[in-house]
Amino acid sequence: MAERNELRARVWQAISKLGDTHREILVLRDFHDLAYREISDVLSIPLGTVMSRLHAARKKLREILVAGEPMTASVTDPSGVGRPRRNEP
Amino acid sequence: MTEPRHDFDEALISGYLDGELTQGEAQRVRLHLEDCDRCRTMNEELKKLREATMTSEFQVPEDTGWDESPRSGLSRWLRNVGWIIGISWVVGFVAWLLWLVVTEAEDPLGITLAFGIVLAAGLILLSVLVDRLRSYRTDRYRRVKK
Repeated sequence: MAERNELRARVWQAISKLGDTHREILVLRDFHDLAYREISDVLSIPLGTVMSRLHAARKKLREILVAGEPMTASVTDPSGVGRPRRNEP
Repeated sequence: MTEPRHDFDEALISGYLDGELTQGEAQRVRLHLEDCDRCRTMNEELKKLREATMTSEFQVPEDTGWDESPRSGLSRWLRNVGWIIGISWVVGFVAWLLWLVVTEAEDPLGITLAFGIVLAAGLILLSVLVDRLRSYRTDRYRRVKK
């Protein structure tokens, strides 16, 4: 449980380090589960830009997580991730 | 393994993971992943990362926060019309009161005080309206449904 909480905190910490543009699109897609078309409407950007921006955001998130050793190995294991709240540490 | 034809748009990998590609595009990605070590590794890593983020939960605003906004086009239209009529009524009523003060009162101090309070109230109201209008126009999420 302690490991799980630690992992949750690290994932959120990594997301908080993303720039506004990347964090915004990642939250809309992965947390609010919006389709690309809906994200395109909400942000008023072309569909292709949604895909490329989302991909860039995920790559950046991965870079941040990889840089934050020793979490690298565990963060790519989704089995340890619970359902964190934003305000949790 | 080789790294073939790397004019490949790697953003397609995210579209592939999200199930947002056409059948043709998805097939193209699958074929590319069979041949390209780098993209295959990226696909695996992003897949795990995506699963990790999607199993987390983003805290949404309280319901009361959503309830403050009109939910349909009709209610939004009615609310806007209500605002226009209300503001017009206030402006007209205040103008009429000022007209009475100016034309009927003989006390210059009374006129000055009346103008002062109306001007102050008007400016404050105007500042609120300007802020409301600005936040409405720049709110990128106003069309997001609950």
